[in-house]
Amino acid sequence: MMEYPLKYAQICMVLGSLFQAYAQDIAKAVSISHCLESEIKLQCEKLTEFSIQSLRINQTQTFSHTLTPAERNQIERASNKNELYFIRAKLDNERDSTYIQSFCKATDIVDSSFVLGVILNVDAFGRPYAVEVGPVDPADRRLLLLPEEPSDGTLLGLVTVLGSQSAPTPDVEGYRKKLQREQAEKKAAESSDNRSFLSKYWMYIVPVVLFMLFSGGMQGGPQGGG
Amino acid sequence: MPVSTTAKYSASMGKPSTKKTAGASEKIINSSVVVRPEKLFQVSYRPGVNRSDLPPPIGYNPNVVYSSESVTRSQDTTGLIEKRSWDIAMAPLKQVPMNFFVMWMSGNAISLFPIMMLVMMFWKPVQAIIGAQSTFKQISGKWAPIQKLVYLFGNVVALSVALYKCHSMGLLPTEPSDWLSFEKPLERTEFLAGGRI
Amino acid sequence: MDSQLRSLLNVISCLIVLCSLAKVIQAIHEDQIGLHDWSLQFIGRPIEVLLSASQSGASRSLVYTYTEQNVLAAIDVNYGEIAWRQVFENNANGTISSAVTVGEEICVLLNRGRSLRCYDSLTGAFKWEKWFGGKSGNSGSCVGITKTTESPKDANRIVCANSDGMYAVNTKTKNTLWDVRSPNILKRYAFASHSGELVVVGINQDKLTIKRLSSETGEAKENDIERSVSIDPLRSECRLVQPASQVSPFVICYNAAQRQLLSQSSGESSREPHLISVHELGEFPVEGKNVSLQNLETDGLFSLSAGGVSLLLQIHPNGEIKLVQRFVGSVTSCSGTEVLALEVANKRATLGTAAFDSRGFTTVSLTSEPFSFPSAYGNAQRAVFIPRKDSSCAKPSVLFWSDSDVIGYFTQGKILWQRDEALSTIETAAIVDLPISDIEALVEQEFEEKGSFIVRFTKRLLSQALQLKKFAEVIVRRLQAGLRTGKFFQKDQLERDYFNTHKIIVGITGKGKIVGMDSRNGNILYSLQAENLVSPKDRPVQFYLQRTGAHAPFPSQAVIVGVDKKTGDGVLFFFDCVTGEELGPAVRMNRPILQSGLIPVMTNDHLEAIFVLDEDLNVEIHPALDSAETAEFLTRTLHIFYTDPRTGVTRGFRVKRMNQGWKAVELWNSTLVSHGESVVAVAPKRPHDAVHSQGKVLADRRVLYKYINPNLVAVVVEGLDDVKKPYLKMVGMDGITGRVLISQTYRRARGPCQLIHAENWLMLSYWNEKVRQSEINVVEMYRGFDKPNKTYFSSLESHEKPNISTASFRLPGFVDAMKDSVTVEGITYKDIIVALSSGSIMRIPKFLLDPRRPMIPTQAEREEGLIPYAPELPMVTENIINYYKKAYRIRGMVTEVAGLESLSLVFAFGLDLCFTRVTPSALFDVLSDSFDYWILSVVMLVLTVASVIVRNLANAKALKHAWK
Repeated sequence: MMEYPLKYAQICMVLGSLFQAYAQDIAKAVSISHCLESEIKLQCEKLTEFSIQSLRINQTQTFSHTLTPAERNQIERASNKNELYFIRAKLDNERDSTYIQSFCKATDIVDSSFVLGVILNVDAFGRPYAVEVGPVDPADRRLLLLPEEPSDGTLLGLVTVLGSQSAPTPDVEGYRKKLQREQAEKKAAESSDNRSFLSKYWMYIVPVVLFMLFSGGMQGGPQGGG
Repeated sequence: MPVSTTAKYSASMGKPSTKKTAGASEKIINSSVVVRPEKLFQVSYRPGVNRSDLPPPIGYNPNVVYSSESVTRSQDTTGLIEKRSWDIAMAPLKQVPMNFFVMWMSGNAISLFPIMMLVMMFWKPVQAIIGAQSTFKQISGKWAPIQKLVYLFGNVVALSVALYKCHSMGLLPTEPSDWLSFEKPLERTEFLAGGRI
Repeated sequence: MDSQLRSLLNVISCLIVLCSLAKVIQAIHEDQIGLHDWSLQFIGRPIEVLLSASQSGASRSLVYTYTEQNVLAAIDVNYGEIAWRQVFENNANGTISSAVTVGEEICVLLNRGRSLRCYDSLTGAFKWEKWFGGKSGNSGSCVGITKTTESPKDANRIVCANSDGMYAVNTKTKNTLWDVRSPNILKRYAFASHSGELVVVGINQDKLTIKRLSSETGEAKENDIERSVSIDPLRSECRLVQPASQVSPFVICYNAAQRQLLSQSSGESSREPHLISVHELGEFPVEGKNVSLQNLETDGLFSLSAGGVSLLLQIHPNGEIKLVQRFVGSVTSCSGTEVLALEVANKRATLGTAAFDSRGFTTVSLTSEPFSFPSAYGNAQRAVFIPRKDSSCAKPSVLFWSDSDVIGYFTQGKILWQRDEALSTIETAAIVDLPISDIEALVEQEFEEKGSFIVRFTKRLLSQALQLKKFAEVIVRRLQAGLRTGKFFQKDQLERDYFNTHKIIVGITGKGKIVGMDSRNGNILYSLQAENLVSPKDRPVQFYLQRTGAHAPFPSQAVIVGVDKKTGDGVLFFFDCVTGEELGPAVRMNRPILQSGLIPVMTNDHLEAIFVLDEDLNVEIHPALDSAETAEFLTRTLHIFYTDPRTGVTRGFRVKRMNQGWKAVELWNSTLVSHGESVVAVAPKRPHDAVHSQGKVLADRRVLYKYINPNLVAVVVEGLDDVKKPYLKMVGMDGITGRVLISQTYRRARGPCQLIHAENWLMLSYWNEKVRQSEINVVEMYRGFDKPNKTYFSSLESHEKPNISTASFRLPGFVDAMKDSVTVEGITYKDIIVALSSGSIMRIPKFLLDPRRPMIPTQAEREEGLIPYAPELPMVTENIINYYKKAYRIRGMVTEVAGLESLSLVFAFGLDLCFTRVTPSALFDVLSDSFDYWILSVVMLVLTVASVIVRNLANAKALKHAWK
């Protein structure tokens, strides 16, 4: 029941931003909320909001959200029951029914002392199309960016934005250069190999000679000695 | 023909054969037993005629030849025996440099010749160790235990050379890549259905 | 011993690697053609059938047709075989608007009425082309006019009318005789009236224009007649019909929008058009497609047909249209006064003729015994009388085709041949195993591990006795059959062969027709029509095999998932895929289906269940299983992945029990599509994707572990970027958690794309706009050098991202379809089978498509066996698996495992069908065909004897020597 004022505020903010973006219909901000499993419809609570311009690819931003004891209990109960913890991101110019969502195990969140690692995947236009949440490895360097130490009262989050890789094209230039180089080498090799026979093939002649010496020695030696 | 037979026996008397490496189970005639060649030519033409009644063959003096040699031999015998034992014991160790050279020649690639050499080099020490009991019969003297140990040690060294060759050819399964075919695919705990357009 | 074995194994594996890397020619020999492969050519459903202009010479037995699949073909009526065919492009540029036979040539109007191409009638060779130009039009129509006089100015000509005007071309000199430009007409028809005049009818959205021109000069003889009528030009048809010999002809149009027939006199410009609604004429299925209007030779008669019903209509000189007779079937003329009708009733068809004279129409007199017209044929769409030496109205030879794509030829009282062109519309195919024989089934039962030791022992003994009995029965039966028919040792029913290479190919068309073919020779074993089932609008019909033939005596059951023809709700149709019988009633749902699939839950009789997710997010299981383990599986393990192809919203669901049913609960959601993008391809892994080795062995003996995520789904999206250039984006997501593992953008690239997803790699073929070539991009995923420290893979717990290596290669050719070969254990290398639009199906070994191929290989990479990088994939003609036979317009391919590890079966379907087998690592587990048993045994024998003799001799010699 504590969620109602929050939800009301969320709706107001959404309406407000809709008004602002009415002329252009380009998303200005993305809001991130977290939800816990309950029947079919998830009850989500807003955590934070980012503006689309501030989302730079491969950069991490942080947020912190004060957890009320009730929320903490909910999360811990969910973790005990082995349930899931959802995260939802919504663009402010979309309807309520259009959102992107992902989840992880609630136990992961509790085990990582309420530090979330959120990954937002954005497309070529800078618009997020998928979200991901998971625990953060204690050795992760991004933890240094956190403004405060992880504690039981706050939910800290690291939001990393990932873009799309550019697919490689067939490397025709490199191949052509390689062919040219090989041709040059072949030309050089043809003209320069005029050392003497012995110096070219010494590595085959020497072992043969040694071998013959040895086997001669072996047969002659034991016979003479014993 | 009698001459050649005599020569064979005199040549083989008191000397181990050097043709094969130690451990070959060839019969070596023990020098303490003297075989009188006259025994070979014992033919009884008439029953009841004793050997000593017959005249000796031409050019043969039964009293002269071996008495002195038997004396000298009994003195040298122990030294010879010891020498022989040492030879038997050291034979495997002497083979090791030869093995090294053969291995270096055969190269690190995996093809017929190196494999044949490798198999041979493995088989010889193994065979020697298996047949060590019969070889030990020929080793005697006061150094015998040490010699036996040395013999075994030589075989072990030969084996380790072969193993080293195996290792450098990459045949020993020491790397995780050798056990890759035993790794089972990971089981899946969740099942995804759908996924078609 | 161990090391010896290992060294031996290493030797063998190295030999295999070396052998497969070397350029081994793996093409088949000439005498092996047709041994393990076959291909069938098709033309599609005919739109029009033409007879050759000169009824002499070798082209006498040919009829020409152009079809809905943009194919122009000549069929030999004596055998029903294709004499030649020309396959045009698959889009509007290749659609044939009309065809005309002139002299020794047949000319077609293509490219939306802008190009006239002429081919030789006998051989199909391309002769000449005329380009009319103009902006992109709609369609056109041509008419051939033969010369009437012997004057040099008069010549055989073709007059074509398209959206831009009318053109006349001299067929001998190929010059344009005249042309009249008159644009802004959507559809035009050109007709030649009996008096030699050229009548050109143009239809616009609200106007009908009739021009009369001289066919020699193109001058308009009289003013145009223009009438305003509301007519839909794209769906309407017009014909010119002459009511009587001295009356000027009427233009009759069928207006699909108003369902009316319109008749306008072309001679008298003052007359108003006559309109009559089709309903008033007779019972006619107007909502059917393919309404065709044909005129008959007899003056004043024409026919209107659709949906198997033909109305024979007559136009009177005053412009009135009256119904003469209604036929269930089709009607055509066989002579100037007689009309031939093909009537279908109760799965039997009859041919009858009726004469038409000044008094009226006589009754139809039957000319033949009824012949069978099975329901698989559907409705008779058209019948055409073929005038031949021995065919007349009394004993007609008729070529007919039905709306189920069957072409048949009736002559001399019986159907001489029929062609099932529905096989060229296959949308989904699958290759299924044959059932095991009874004896094999008993063997399988024998080794079931149930019960105590005594029980199992007695079961084995009993089973062996039964097997012996069955074996004796089989022998006796085959002997009897052999004595009767002369063929001994012939299998009487379909059974698996030893290597499990004999399979059944099931093909399902978009109209719900199911065809089962023998994989040995392509013979049709059964043909089944699922009632009221069609494919959904945005995806093909799905096929799932619920039970294979390994559990005889249970039938090998399969299910197809489609939609109802009328309502669009989901329909499940169960059938036996070996015999073609329907199994149980079809399940009709009351909502459209979003996703369906097989789930690994089995009933006691080895039937795998399928789940169906409908629009309301209800999940149904067929067959309905209520056991506790099913419930456990559904709630704990099952996740469903669904992409809406329209909106691009991708969701993952889990299943929850709700009110006696199951509901899908959304777990994750992402919107892959925005701003005008569209989803092009979605590819999960195969259900039983066998990966044999968990990693790649490098030269320094480390293992590079593969990242094999069985829940990975790849989605390809196409769109336009901010500079309005096309681009493609491939997103690889874990289907259970929605995490994005791969995200790649291909700039300046567009579809059509083919996507393959197998093992630890993804392959995408696309068209690169910049260099205008096809490219294939390979993405491989690796985990690294650390061994996975868990024995199970859980998407929920694994947060790792794979290391991705990717490379692109150019392909000389345009890819129609692409698929990877698959084998039982996954040990054999993979081949990528690519169907090119030039008609060749080529196989590309997977090791050429390796992103780790180095530009300059180091020693380690050379030892590993990586081929140096080359940007272009070689087009090796020995790798074309359908050698000289061409297979055009391949829509899809299916690859399937055979019993042998080295063999993979490939079936390509589209306009043509092609079935063959592929051995990516050269049949390594079977002795080859050229294995010389005789020479080997003779040599062994000789050597044994020789060694015995020599041993004896050697012993004798040694003995002799010892005596010396």
